[in-house]
Amino acid sequence: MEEERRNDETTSAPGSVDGGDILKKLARAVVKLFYKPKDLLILDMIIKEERVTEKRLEDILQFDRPLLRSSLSALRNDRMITFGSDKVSGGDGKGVRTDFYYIQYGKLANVVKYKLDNVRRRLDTLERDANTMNSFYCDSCNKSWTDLEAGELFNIYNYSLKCNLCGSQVKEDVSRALPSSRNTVMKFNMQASPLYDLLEQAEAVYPTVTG
Amino acid sequence: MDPALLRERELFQKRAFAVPVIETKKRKEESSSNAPDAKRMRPSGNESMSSSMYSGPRSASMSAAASAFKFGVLTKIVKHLRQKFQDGEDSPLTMEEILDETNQLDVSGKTRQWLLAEALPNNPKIEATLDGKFQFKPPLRCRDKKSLLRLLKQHDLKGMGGILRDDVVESVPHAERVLKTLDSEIVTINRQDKKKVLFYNDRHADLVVDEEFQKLWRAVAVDGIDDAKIEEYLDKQGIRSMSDQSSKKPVQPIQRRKAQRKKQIKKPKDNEHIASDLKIYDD
Repeated sequence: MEEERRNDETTSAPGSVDGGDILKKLARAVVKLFYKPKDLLILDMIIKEERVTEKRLEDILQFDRPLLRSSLSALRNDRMITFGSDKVSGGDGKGVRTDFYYIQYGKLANVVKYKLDNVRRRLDTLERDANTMNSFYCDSCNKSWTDLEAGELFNIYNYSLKCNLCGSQVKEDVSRALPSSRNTVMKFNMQASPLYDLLEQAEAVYPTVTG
Repeated sequence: MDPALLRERELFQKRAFAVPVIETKKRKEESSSNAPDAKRMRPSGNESMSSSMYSGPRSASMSAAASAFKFGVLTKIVKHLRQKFQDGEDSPLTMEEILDETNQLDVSGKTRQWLLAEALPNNPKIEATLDGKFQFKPPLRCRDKKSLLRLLKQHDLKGMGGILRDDVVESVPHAERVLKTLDSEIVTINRQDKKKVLFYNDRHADLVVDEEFQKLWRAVAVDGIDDAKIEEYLDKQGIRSMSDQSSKKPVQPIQRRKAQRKKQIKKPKDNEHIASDLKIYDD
């Protein structure tokens, strides 16, 4: 019986970046943080079995088909799992195709880095927008200032903010002020730190391609 | 009568008898009033008549009714034993005790025989003890909170998958209370057919991120971007990319062609090419 593999989606060949403990931990951590509990259960099964068919997942996990397929689709779209197929030619010459799911850990790590970087950039953009938003305004002349510009209006003798055009009191518009996004960035870095640690450990162990 | 007509009649009869005809005789139905030899079975109790004395659709429906009755008795017995088990009373009972508790002492001897010899021993939900008694056999081997948790952990470690909540409710006495106390250690997945599957919740690495970060993560789509572009992006940002070697096509060694040696055109040197034309006029 001959075994042919499709070129575009193959299992990890020997010598490639396979699923060591660190990369398996990384895969579990990512799915636990950003996906649903049922997605983690499916990923756990794929990690344990390495190559598993949809039918096998259905039998073991006792999920019904629509529930299983929605999770597989979500994980597959984000490259957390990969779809592959084997074509085995039987004695009568007819090919039998077997579809299965497995994990390409190298690609998974790259996608995680890509997404983390994009999320961090998005948070930085939000922080920049918050700092440039005009949240101080003058009732009389309707002029507004950002948080940074408001510092120039501070009167050290009166400990108040005075408009530099008309001299009226400058007030802060609490409704327009965004919650401190610096705290948001810090919180994200703290909550995602296990992922960063695992990525660092993985880089130390597995080969990387530098730019 | 006209003799010509009589002659024609005779000729017709001769022709008719000459043609072979197969006759099918209809069986006469024996009516109960006209067949003095037919015996009747009187119905006993709630059971219907024996199928051996009757033929036709009437006896088939009667045997189906008998069968349905017997399985009705069996179902009541199984439900009763299960309820006793779930209430914590799991001591084995004899068949008489079971029939007494289910108010079915009026079943016939034949049904009792069937229950004792065939139905109860072969039922997957009934366990027969050595002394001829019967008790409920739960689908899972766990009787309390501790053993249920151990079973869930075992399933998780060995990759045996999930456990149906219905099986747990059948197997563990006071299951609802037990499941409530284990709420934080169990993950429940709801299927579309309303059944629930239970898994162990491994809180060893309890990682949590805020909902807004999850939304931002989901907003970054990668399904339309191929791996090479992702690697290119990472390289541009100065991030090391981890490449799966199997995805790369094997780099073929560059076959260098042998350098074509140009034919060296020998340039004439020292007029050697016209050496023959040289004439020496010494004398």
